[in-house]
Amino acid sequence: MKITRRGFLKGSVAATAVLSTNSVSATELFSPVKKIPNASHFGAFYAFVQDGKILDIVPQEPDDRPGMMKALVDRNYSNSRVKYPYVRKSFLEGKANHKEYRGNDEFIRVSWDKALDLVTRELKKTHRDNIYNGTTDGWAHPGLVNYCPTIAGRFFNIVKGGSVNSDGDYSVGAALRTNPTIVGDIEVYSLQTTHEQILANTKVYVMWGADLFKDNKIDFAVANRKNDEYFLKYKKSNIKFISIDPIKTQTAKMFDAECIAIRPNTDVALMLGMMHHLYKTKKYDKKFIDKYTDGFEQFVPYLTGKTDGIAKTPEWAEKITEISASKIKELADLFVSTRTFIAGNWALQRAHHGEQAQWGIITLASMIGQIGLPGGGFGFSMHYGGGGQAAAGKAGPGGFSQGRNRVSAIIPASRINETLLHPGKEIDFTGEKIKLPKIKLMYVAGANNVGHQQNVNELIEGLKTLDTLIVQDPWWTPTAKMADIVLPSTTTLERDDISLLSGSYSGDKIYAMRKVVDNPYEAKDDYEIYSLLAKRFSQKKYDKFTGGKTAMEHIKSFYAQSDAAKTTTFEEFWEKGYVKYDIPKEAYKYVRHSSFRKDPLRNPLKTESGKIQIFSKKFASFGYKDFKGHVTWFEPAEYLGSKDVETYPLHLLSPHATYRKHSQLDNVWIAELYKIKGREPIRINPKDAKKYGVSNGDLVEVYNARGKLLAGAVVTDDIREGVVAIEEGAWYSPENSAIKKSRGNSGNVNVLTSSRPTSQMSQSCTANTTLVAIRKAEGVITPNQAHLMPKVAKI
Amino acid sequence: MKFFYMIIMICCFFGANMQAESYIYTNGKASLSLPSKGVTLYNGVPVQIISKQGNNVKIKIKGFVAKNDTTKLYATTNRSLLLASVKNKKNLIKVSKGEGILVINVPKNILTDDMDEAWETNSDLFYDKCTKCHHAKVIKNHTMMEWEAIFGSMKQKAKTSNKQNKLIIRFLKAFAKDGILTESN
Repeated sequence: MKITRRGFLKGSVAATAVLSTNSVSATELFSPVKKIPNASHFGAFYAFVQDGKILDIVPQEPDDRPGMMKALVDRNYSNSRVKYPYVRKSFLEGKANHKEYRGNDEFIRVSWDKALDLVTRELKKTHRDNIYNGTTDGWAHPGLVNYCPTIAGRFFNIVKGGSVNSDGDYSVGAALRTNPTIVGDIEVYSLQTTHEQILANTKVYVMWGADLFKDNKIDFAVANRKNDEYFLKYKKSNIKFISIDPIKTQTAKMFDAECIAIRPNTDVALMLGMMHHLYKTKKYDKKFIDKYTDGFEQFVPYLTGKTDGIAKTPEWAEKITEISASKIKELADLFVSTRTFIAGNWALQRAHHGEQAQWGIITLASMIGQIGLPGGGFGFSMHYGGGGQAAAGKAGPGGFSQGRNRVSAIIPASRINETLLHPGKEIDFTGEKIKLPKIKLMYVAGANNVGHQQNVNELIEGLKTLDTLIVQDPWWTPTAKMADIVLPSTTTLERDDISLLSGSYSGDKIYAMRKVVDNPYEAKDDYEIYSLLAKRFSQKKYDKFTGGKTAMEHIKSFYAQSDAAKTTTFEEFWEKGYVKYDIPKEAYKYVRHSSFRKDPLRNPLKTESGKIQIFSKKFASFGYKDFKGHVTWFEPAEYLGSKDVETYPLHLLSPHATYRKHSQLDNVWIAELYKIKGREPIRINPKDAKKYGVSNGDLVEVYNARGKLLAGAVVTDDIREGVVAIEEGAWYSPENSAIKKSRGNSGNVNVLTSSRPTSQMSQSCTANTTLVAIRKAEGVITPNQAHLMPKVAKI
Repeated sequence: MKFFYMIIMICCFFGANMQAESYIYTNGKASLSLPSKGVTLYNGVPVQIISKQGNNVKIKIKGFVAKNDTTKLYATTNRSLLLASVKNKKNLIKVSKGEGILVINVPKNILTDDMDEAWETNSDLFYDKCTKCHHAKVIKNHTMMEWEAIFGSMKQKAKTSNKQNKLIIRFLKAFAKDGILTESN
């Protein structure tokens, strides 16, 4: 039976009715509808299934925003599914110049045996030091048995003794490498002060780039919507909300926040201006600085200009940020005079010198002196994974161990372009020199590297240097289209699994991710694919990889390791679809850094001094030009204050998507509701639109020296003049894959972003440091083919 | 050379001296008490063998001590990783210029010449608990202090017990950039 996409639900019900009425003796006209529990990054749900077809998906818990979850049905039946194993034609034919055709070649359907033989051959002939496990950059889904980053790592570590991995991640690379030294904790993934404490104590809540409502829709584990309930309370509270952001966010509007539309990438100047004011007026909390911080005296000469001749006054900051000096002083005075909580975000540190953003907030919060007090201080994860929810504190399911990776070479996340194009190059990294490895084979499962990596055109050139590119995915993602060998994997609806402890912060649920429907094609579960590959290496490696267990046996074993197993049998859990832990009353009182504040000697931070490092000897000792021993304003390579604005006058931001989890769900019906003529929207201020002759709904060409793309204009006052925004995650699709730097036809923003690193220190991504120009698109516009499968050769 | 790397170099040099002959092996426990000698030895600590006699082996452990506490022997000058401690026998650790040497007879069954075996429990625990959501970071790429901060952040997610935390952090510190050992190939 041919499976159609749209109207599947309607069609399946009708078909069932027709079939059933053919039998007049039937006791029931309709076959039974099964209710099957499952869970996703978008939330937990019940799938209603009849005759092996999904009728609907309904959230397990009250949820005012179930749209993305419901779209999982459409994604399952998408035309972009990889139905069979494929091999790229010129690769299969062994053509000497086959690499040139990568991304612009036909595919040939092959048997599973053939595909696995080829993968095994390529893996066997490539040394582990030259294999890049590109899966480490992906999320895939929240199931523990088929979780690609883990089982890929386990596979490589067992079968090859390891592979080259990335270090850190795209989201928070700069913070991960600096916060531990500054404040003794990575902070970005750490338990946050609870909403209860915020609601009871906070007077001023600063959202420094944080879009709490939008970003909490999804979770690394299974999302819950509890933060939505708290946000209703926030709205009714007397808290004054301030949003420092070039974009008027959903959250800012919801909370009627005062919006400070700062110039992008100038936040550190604003922080320094406020700190200078607090210092000069002696309004800063000197007692806190003395008792809880280290190195203030080394920082002050920089703040006052003694070391570089530039006093970081509010007037100085005004010129950079375009926020008036009087407003800067007003904000500083307000923050220090009342209980103020600063919710930082991650986008600030995805910018040139992004390390400074969180260090700046930590230093400012130290001068305000409320760190560790209920409702005060800072938090860097209130926008993520249910940040602010109280934690149950119970053990979740076990999971696969990846074991030890014997390859010590790493690629700092987002340095893949440089690695592929300049193997052997020595770069600075966290105080060391590292040599970028030579990558010959890249294996990606459940990740979409051609999309989340900055400067896509550069990456494509890099991918053409590989000997082999293997992709394992349920869909023809842009990365799969570049591959030599494509292995079809099942979707999360087509296999059994067990979830991570969810949500990321509450940790109060474990979900049964039960198989909803059979895969109608030839796709296999990720666990099975890796098992089959391991077997091709040896029975011993297969046994080690599988641990002698089936996937279901692993699910049971993982569940048995949870605290839930002490009170609820696996059978009960599996039938019901979840177990829920109670949250202890004490957990609602959690205040980040409160134990340190209470007794810094007994509870020192894991830093050089045991205190907050306003100055770090370690960092200063690196001697980097672009990263010093204290928070420093560095002029970004591209921003509205740079000379390049004469050519590229608009600052392009690439915030997290409103209706996707990165690139997930770009290929579903929801996209049709917000895309403009099939392209990703670009938000532009009315004044800029007028200046560049752009009207709402126009297709526009956005360009810079790195590339150009088509996007759909949304003219709105919600974005600052001089700034445009394209949400990250649209599937990359070139107008003509045969030519270099072809115009992006879908609006994938990374066609325009730079692969420039944050600094010598962190080598992290700088997606938000991008200047562009814009013009109305003219001439022949070909359809966006991002979600179509590539050409398949007839044999 | 910068201050921090001086410390690292000192520790590496020190570690290289120690990482030679044998290791304390407590079969999965964090430490082992020898009550008759008033000594507690920590798992995985590298030792030098001075002599062997029957089931007894005379070993030497080198480390650092605090100015005001000569009962504890640490791997580093900043006293980050405990190697051994003595009770009621203050002079057992011989001290000279902040460095300490403990010479003691121990049963041979608490020693192994296989470093991986000595650290197997810690290592397995680390990879079991810390790689189910993400791959393991290269241990040698971070200092002991950084590991304290990183693991301190992530243990809340790993939901490890206090006992497990101790075993994991000892492993990470021992093999850290400024640690005393290097993982074998």
